[in-house]
Amino acid sequence: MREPTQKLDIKAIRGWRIEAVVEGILIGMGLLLVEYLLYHFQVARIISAMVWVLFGSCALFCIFDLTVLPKLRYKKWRYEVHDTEVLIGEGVLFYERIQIPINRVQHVTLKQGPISRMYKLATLEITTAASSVEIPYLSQHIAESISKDIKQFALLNDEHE
Amino acid sequence: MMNMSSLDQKYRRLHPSIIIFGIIRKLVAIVILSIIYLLLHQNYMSSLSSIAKTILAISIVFSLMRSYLFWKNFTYIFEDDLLIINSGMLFKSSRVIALHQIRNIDLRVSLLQRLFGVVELRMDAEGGEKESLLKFAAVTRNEVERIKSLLRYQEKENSIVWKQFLTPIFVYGITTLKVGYVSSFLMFCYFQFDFLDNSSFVLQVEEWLRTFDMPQRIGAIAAIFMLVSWMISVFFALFRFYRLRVYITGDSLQIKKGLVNTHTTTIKMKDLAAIRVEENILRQLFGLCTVYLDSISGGNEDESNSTILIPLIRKKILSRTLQTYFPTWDFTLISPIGNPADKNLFRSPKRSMLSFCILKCMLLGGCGLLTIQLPIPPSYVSLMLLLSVSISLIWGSLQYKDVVINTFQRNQLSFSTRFINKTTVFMGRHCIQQMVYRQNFIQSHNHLCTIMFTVRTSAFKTRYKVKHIDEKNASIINAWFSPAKMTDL
Repeated sequence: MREPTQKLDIKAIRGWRIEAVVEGILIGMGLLLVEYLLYHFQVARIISAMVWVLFGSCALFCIFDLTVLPKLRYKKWRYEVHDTEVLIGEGVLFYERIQIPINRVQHVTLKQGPISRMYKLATLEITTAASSVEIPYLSQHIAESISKDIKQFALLNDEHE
Repeated sequence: MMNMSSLDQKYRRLHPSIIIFGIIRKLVAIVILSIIYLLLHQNYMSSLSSIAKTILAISIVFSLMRSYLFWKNFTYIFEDDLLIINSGMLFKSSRVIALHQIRNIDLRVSLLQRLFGVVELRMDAEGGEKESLLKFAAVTRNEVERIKSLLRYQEKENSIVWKQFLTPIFVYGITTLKVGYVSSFLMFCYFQFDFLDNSSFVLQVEEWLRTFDMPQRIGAIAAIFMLVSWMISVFFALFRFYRLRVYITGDSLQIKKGLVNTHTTTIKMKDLAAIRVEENILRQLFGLCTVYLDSISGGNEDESNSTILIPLIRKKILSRTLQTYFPTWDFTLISPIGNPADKNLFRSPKRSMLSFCILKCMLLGGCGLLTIQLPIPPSYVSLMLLLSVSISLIWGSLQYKDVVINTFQRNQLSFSTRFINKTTVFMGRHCIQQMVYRQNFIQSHNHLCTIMFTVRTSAFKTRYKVKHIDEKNASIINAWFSPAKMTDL
């Protein structure tokens, strides 16, 4: 089976880390709010203990997501755009290889969130009639050039069909 | 290109009967509730408080106003290969749909609509989520014919290719595994609705049941629930599939069915994405199966987003029957044993048995172990554990046995797989939007993988999954799916 070869931008690791921090803070705040409400309305202690266990597990996962996971994710993430198909390989625990024939692509979207903008990166969303996949944290000029290539290949394929 | 502006000079509205449909439906619901109460020796209207009666009256007036405003604001026009629909009461919206994007036509006629000589026209457009369904709730027959001709769905000479007789519909109702859902719903009604619990009829039945010993009582309750559930299932099957006929009209396939509400679905052959054969455990024992169609932008929310083509058919004659409808498709996978194409079939390797069984053994075995908490002797716990492990092994080996893939045809992929029901799918290559190969730790160690196909069907995309196949076979499927280089074309 042909494996994709192109890697994401190295700054993707930083992007994922910032995402992990933001998610961790939001989830932590949410759980602390729940814990406060449980204390305020004097709900059974067992539920409160369960929330603390959840809080602890989330904290552990956040540390994992902040330190080890971004590097592993970066190592596994691969993509490749050919004149006939788009290949994507991703996933740490469950490795997935996605294959999309270029003539199935309906549209391509370039997206930039605040983190991407900060590092001059962009996310490329490839949409078919039934699904959509994202290639995150590509450097802006590469994302633009891939987007242009896909459009061109898709057009050529349509003409051939 | 045909210029249609000359045909439609102004916007059209739905049939005005739609205004009173809502109220009639509400009144019918009240009448049905009253009858149920009467059967249980109670009076529905006297059981309502005066406030509840006032709310009911106000809701009827509001529903009349809402229906009128909906009718007044819903207008449509076919103009220059476009369909423009204006709708909305508070928030006005205007939708423009290219006619070539409209894929399937569905006609539904309820008893009420039949009285007014109108039908409900549903069209499925490409893309979007729920918006892909275009629903014209009440249009006249003439208007339907006009719309059909604009969409190039003109009726040609009809030829019946399949008739569903009455006995198979009864068998379909009896063998459906949805009997379990119906029983659960009945139990829910019995325990939750006080009026059922307090009615003299139910009290009499309870009194009668008390005359039995405990084991007999449990058996009798189970038998009553099963009997009522089967009766309801058979009634629903009759309601849905009575007089089911399949016609082939030119390049389209038409399915007509229904006892009270008639339902006509028209699918263009070129929009056919997949043909699916489902065999639940009960039906498999009797060599019976159900055939579904997945079409581009089509599908029924009450039929797992597909359209039922044949509710019940003997598997022996299935391959021959389907071949007459779809001569360009290959159905050898239905009976692969002894078939010359057998050597082109891929099966799961023996080492995949572990992957098929391990998770089930852990889950079901865990459930079996949990019985230790129940006040039963330890021998029963061991029995439950043994039973749960045996079930998971049988289930896993059945799943292993049923994985078969055929990539022999260039434009068609056929495979069979099983979760609980055995599913055989024949899929057009042009409708597969993407393929995903997934590997977990155990699969990676055993050189296995799971492949998933996303197919372009209705608003709800359909995803098919084949678990634990050999990496080498996955490579062959990958090569089969990879488009030819442009230079090769």
